[in-house]
Amino acid sequence: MMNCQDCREEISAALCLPEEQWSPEIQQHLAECAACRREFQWMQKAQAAIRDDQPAELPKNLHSSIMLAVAVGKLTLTEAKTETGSIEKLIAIKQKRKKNPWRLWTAAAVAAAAAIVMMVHSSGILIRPDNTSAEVGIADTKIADDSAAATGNPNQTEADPKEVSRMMLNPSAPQEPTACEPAAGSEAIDSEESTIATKAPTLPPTTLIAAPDEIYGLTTELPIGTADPVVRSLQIELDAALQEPLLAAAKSHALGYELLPATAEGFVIQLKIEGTGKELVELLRGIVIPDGYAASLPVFSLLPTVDSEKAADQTEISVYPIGSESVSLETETVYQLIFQFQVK
Amino acid sequence: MIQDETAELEQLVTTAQTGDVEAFEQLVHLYEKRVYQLAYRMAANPDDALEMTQEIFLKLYRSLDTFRGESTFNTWLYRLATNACLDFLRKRQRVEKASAFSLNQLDMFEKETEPKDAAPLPQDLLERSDLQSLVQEALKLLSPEHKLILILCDIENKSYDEIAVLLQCQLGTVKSRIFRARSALKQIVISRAELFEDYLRHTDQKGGSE
Repeated sequence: MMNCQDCREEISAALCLPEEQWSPEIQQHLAECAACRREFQWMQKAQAAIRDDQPAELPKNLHSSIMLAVAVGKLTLTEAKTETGSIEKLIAIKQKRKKNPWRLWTAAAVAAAAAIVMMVHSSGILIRPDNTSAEVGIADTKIADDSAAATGNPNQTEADPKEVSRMMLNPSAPQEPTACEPAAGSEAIDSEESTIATKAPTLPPTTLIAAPDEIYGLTTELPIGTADPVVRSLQIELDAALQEPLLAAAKSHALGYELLPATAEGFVIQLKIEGTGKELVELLRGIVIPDGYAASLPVFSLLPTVDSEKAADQTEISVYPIGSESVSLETETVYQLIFQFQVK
Repeated sequence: MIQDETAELEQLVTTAQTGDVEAFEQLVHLYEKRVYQLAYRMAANPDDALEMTQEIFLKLYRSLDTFRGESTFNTWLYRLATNACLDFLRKRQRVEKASAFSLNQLDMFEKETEPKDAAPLPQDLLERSDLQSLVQEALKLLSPEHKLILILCDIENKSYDEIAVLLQCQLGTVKSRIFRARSALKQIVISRAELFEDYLRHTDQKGGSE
């Protein structure tokens, strides 16, 4: 005859089975033992309570934050090499992209983008789409011209202003070094090719147009070129707790940057950053694993803004790792990272 | 139909193994919700759940090329996910030594859940209207291993065979672990119910004396 101990282990296992499949021994024991019957009742109720647990609400940025984490996790730093100015690796990686060469994303890039935005923010520069203001409309034309001049693409003088990045500079911006002005000792910025820092001053004047502390301590909207008459915007949203370490990281790595014109391939804004592998990785580490944070991820999220009227038409930001393999950045090699925000 | 889906998934995995980012992203799309739900139930808070989910997919990315098709991809990913969840929670437990409901207490419960020492169930516990919330709370306090096995069995509706494959242990071990997990859950519920009664009594006395 089955004892109580054996019976309870068996009924625990039998809970998931229909009663007719229970062994005769269990059924007999339960018929004879009130304590085990009560135990069985308890197990049934507990199981029902566990099963009643409702599914969790999914985070809005679940997908992008996963892809971002994967991309960040792929970056490693190799031993120092003396060569500088090499971007062949990135170009090669970029060429691996089959369908859309513009979809070169890295968590590094995105993290760096956040850093750039932070730098832009700390310099008093904010960027956002705005085709509702006549004043900005005039600025758009000028920016289109200036952007074309900066990139050396004459076709872009005729570009649709909606497809051109817009920047407005705050005349009363703080006097601290801006992202356009490399910090002293940042020799990488002075390397011979593609010196973004020297290009950056050609960017048009900008104006501070929004309070930087709207959401979680920082909100920066980036312009998106689009053929759609409704200009959409992206929002980089940072946790307030991370603002300070992020600002510190950004300020300590005043790398050059350039804002490139949007392309006609989608709602895209591109940013380019240049620095040595060491600088870039340190920059990333400064952002991704700030002091005082036990967890490295998530550090920040990229969220689309959604017009209240167009909530159903929510857009999603895609984050793509570089190419198909882990990327190893050499410490002293200067890299350009081109990254973009694309609204699907 | 199912065969088509299986073949499609196999193709997707094979493509992702070659380093195709878009294929990998499709895999993420396919599994992110399920993985997040598992992580959420294990972590019991959204921040940790998101972090666990990210870690799981990063591990997936790093180890995808080690998948040899000896089990289904579902099983393989689930095993990776459950291991990652356990690692994460063990790590978190080490950090949270000063938790109000300490691990020592949980260990004590675990020791008390040997079948021969199983505490009797209070007569009125089954009738309590708050039994469900007591169970839900108790579930959060279970050890990661016990919590995982109950989630797999009672929420994910995995069979004992599937759990044995996932956890790479014998069927008998699964049966025994589930029983122990249920016993541990019961001990926590009893304890919390008693604490709650004490609290109510204390509040009543206090209220009565005022």
